[in-house]
Amino acid sequence: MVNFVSRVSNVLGCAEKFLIGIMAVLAIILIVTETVLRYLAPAYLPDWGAEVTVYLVGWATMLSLPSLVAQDKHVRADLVVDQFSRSMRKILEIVVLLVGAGFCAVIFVAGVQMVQFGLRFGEISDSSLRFPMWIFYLAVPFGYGFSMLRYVMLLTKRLTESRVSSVTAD
Amino acid sequence: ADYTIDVSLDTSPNHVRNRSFRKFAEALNEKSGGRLEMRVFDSASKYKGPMVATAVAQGAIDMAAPAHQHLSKYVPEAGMLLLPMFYGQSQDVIYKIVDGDIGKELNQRIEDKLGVVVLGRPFDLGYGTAFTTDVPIKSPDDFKDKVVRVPGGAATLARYRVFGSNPVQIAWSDVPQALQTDVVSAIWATQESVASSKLWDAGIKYAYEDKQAFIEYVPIISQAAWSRLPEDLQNLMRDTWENMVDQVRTVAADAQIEARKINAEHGIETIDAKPEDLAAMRVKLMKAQPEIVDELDMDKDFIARVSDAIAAAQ
Amino acid sequence: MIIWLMLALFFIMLLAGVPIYLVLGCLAVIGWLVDGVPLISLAQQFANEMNSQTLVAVPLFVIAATFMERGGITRALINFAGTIAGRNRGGLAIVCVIATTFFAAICGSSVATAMAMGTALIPTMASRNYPASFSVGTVGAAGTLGILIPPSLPLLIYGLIAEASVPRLFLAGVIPGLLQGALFVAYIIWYSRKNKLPLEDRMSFAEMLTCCREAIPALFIPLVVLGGIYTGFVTVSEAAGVAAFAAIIVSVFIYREVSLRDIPDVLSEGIRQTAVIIVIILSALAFGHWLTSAGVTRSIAAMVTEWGLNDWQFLLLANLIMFVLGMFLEVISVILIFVPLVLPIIEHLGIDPVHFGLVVVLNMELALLTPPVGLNLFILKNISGERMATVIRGTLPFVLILMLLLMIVTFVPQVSLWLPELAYGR
Ligand code: NA
Ligand code: NA
Repeated sequence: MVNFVSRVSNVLGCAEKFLIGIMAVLAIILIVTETVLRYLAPAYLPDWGAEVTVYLVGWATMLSLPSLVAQDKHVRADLVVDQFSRSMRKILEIVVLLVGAGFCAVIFVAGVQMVQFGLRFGEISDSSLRFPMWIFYLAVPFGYGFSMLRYVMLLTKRLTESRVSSVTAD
Repeated sequence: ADYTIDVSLDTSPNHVRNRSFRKFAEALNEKSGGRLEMRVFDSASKYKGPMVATAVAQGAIDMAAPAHQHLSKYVPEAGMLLLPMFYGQSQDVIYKIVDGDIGKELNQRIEDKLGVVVLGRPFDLGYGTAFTTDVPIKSPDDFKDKVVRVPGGAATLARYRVFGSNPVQIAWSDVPQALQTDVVSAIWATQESVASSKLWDAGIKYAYEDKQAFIEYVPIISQAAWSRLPEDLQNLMRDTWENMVDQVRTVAADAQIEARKINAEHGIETIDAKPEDLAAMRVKLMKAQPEIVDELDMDKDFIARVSDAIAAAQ
Repeated sequence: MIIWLMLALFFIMLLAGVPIYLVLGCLAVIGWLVDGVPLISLAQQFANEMNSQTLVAVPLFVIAATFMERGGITRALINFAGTIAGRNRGGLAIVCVIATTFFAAICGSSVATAMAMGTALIPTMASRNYPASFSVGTVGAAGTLGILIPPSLPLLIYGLIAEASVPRLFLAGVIPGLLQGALFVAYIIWYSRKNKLPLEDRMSFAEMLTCCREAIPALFIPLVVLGGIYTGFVTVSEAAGVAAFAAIIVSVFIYREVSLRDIPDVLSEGIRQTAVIIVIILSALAFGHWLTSAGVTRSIAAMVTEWGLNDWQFLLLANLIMFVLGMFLEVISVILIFVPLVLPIIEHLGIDPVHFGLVVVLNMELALLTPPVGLNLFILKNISGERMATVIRGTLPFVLILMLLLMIVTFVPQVSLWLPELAYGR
């Protein structure tokens, strides 16, 4: 079971990395092409280049959020925490995971509402692309939703760990 | 105060829109005997221009006054003032449309689609003006082959394509550099924004007042904030607004004249377009209108009625 | 009342080791709930802030920086700086300041600058037995040049809000930037003599020539990017894209230290590094949004107007407030919260907005270095693996120098205004 979960998250991790890389490449190619086109053949310049770059970079950023949780890459001030005892640090760690899961859950739910709003009101971008904005908005609940899942996974892991260690301590 | 209405504006405190709203706030406070307080948040400290309509619709802010084109992402017809049929039209004609049945219908569409309340008639920013660096524009034909910075929007882009120029979208913050380095030789902006950004420094020397499009702000209130108010205050808001609109429009016109004067003091020469030139160009532009209406997914029936109303108003 | 509760909660969560984006984000959520504003608009704000050309420039500049670091570009700039720094005690630290100055001319973000320089130089400095606090301090403080020397994202954002000319703002950053570099180098020379830091080996003329030659492709990037911006060929976000593109080309095909296969990896790493910052920016902007709505910022402005301050008194006070705000908030949010608030006062007192922009950006450099929330501190802690206390101790002398520079820039407007006025007139 554990093996299966880790294999799945491995595959997901690779897919995620690949997807983020592709989006970043596309964004860079798009922005450079646009810059070059503006001087060589401005007539062929679409009015949505910068816009699509924003969507690509936005999605890529949100896609990378869950891995930041998993690898504990989010910045924090650990000035004081470092001074605490081990058990205190463990408790605080669980508090952090709870706060993380809670906040990400709030943004996930609010984000889903936002996507629904975008769908219901048919919000579209200003350019000739008339891009349905909900597709871009979806990145927010996606990133924070999967971050929430990561927090919950870490939380269950920590809690089962501490139960095991307290059993052996008895 | 018993009731407060928060207003979010993305322009600076000195902008005509903000001054107008502050005046409106004072009047409301006074007439309601202090029961209704309106708080004005300037300089996009709450929401940026394109976003504020969404915020009002979601109930995140009580009130705002987005430009028509910022509502067009929800209600395509809100972008009608940018269409060829309004090109070169006098203020009188435009007022007859936006204050008349067409305007009422458009407001209804905005209310239905976004679930907001439109407080009343729109008020003005004014006409957009074309500015150039080295070569003055004296007739619409002079736009040919010029690289022009435009704020975006399909209708505006289409207009410049008909002019035979090369419209590019550059962020306002990048405009000074783009001008100084001849990346663009013309911009479409307002006298006021050119004055406040001191674009004479960036090489602007000429302005061409060709009434390409008239920009107006629509006062909208969120359903939540509106239904909070007792009926007498609702009526007070509507009446106060109605009584102020014309005065506020004069203030806007004065602000543009004042800005034109400041620009003139800094060496920008403004040339007023000849009406016959504009009429000729409008005929040309009108050929492109069906395609724009189609691209923007506007209600063709509504646009046809607007077209009739313009004809009747002239 | 609520503001004091929020303040308490802020400190408790911060000290409990809750990630910054969660601290600010939770406060924002609480603020939203207290004001009874629907939470959907919080998510909407996140999406709207991400839907920005300015923000796009950040990951692109960071991606450029990631490739520069991995692809030997940073290394080439550093070696090139070595030929300028010569044979001094603490030569590596001097090299760091000089190379960072070059790097800052392509990179609009301080964090990215500190990241690139830190990854390249901190291990080398450690191997040469530099005190850890001194080396992280040097890199962190020099990294702040990223937002003073143009291009600069904070200056750009300031220009948008204050309706000030961006080219003027950019030009105004040049002299203070060079002055900062010079002051840092002076301090480094003094410190290195005092602490007997190792002497770097003298470069032979042939070595110097090689370093210069190898640096040409690397120097070509700032030339294209800055040249592009100044000639108006590209916008800032386009410059960022071009920088990323050039960095990929140069590091894959010229320095050949990155293989084609590594590209997705390096790119996703760059995005990930930026995501860390972007989530903080999103939360900070949301919290700042609440601060404005709650009238906190408004009451400050009212107070200042009431006191009837003159211009230098106001500037001093503004510096104090920005310093305190900068301790706790992220740079862009300080600008977004504070600047709209004081614009009317600035105009009233007749202070040049370009001058004030530079005062703001110097404060933001300090903000990057002051605990508890200083992004450069976090970045350096991550790179070096040192304790926070060590990082803070190392940056302290540079913070004092920056304060001195801030006073100069604040009270001698010509330091910032001379160059733009020379170029564009008064
Ligand atoms: Na820079
Ligand atoms: Na700080």
